[in-house]
Amino acid sequence: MKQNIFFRVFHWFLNITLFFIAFGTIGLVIFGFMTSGNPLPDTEKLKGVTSLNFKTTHDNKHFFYEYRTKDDGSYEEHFYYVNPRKLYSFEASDSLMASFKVRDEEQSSDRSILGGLIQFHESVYKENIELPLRLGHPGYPITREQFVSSFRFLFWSYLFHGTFLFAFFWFLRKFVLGLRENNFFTDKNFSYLRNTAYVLIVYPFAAAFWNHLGKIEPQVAYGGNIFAISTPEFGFSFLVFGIILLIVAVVFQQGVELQKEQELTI
Amino acid sequence: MAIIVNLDVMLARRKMSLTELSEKVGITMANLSILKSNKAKAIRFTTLEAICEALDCQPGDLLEFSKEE
Repeated sequence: MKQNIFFRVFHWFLNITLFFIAFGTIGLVIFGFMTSGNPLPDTEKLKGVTSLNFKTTHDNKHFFYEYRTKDDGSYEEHFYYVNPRKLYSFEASDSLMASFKVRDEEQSSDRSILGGLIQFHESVYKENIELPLRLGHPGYPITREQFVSSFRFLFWSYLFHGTFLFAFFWFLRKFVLGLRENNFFTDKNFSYLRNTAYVLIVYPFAAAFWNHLGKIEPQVAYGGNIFAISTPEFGFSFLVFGIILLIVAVVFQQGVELQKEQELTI
Repeated sequence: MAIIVNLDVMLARRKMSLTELSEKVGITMANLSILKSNKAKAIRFTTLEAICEALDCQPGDLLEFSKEE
């Protein structure tokens, strides 16, 4: 009885999770289609605005759009990306010094909507200061087209990752449903468990390929003796967990065979 | 099937129906049908003993080994 309550609660948890994944993914994609035509603000409407800065994040890389009005009334736009994950070939003490602009946290303010998907930052910067390069995240300049395409790619990424997430929870839900109905060692339960494992095994390879499609930056961003290399991104934890689950599924298959034999023993 | 269950032959010899055997032995009709149609993977000694007693026969009368698949 206790077992049944546990599976019942777990099944409902998975139902709710699936609901949020499905509607969340669809909502994000619709929002993406609505904004993908021109995700950048209309500069005509920005007249009088001294500076505007927004970022979008894809694959843990931040893509920045910066708008700044100059003293003569004209404006300039900057597009750059920052990869927070990087490896340096030098020690912190040997690091070359670089000029960084530092955000004045006291005078700046942040707010976000849609659970942090869209963030608004009002930033006030202090005078540029000299810091070891290792302590900062160098911005790598990109073109307007690259920024827009990465913005669009971000929403396709939600669909891509959402599909895998949905498939994982869908098969897990079907498996738990079987357990909830006290049907343990059946062919269906085995196939749901095996499919859950397959999703986890395929995901890191598919994600690596997907991220490769969206890659716009060179591997080495800086030359000379200072260089930042993008760390290889591969979901080893998914792969390991998927393989473990596949082994469990194979053991489960033996259980199914034993169950069949038991049922056909008179 | 290497082991053939001749339950139907023994039932015919004893002029007994499957329902009657089911009541005597205490095995469900579904399980006896599995046994009769040679779909069973194994048979317990207790079951074999009960059937032999009900049909007044030896295990060898019920089971037969065949080399043909």
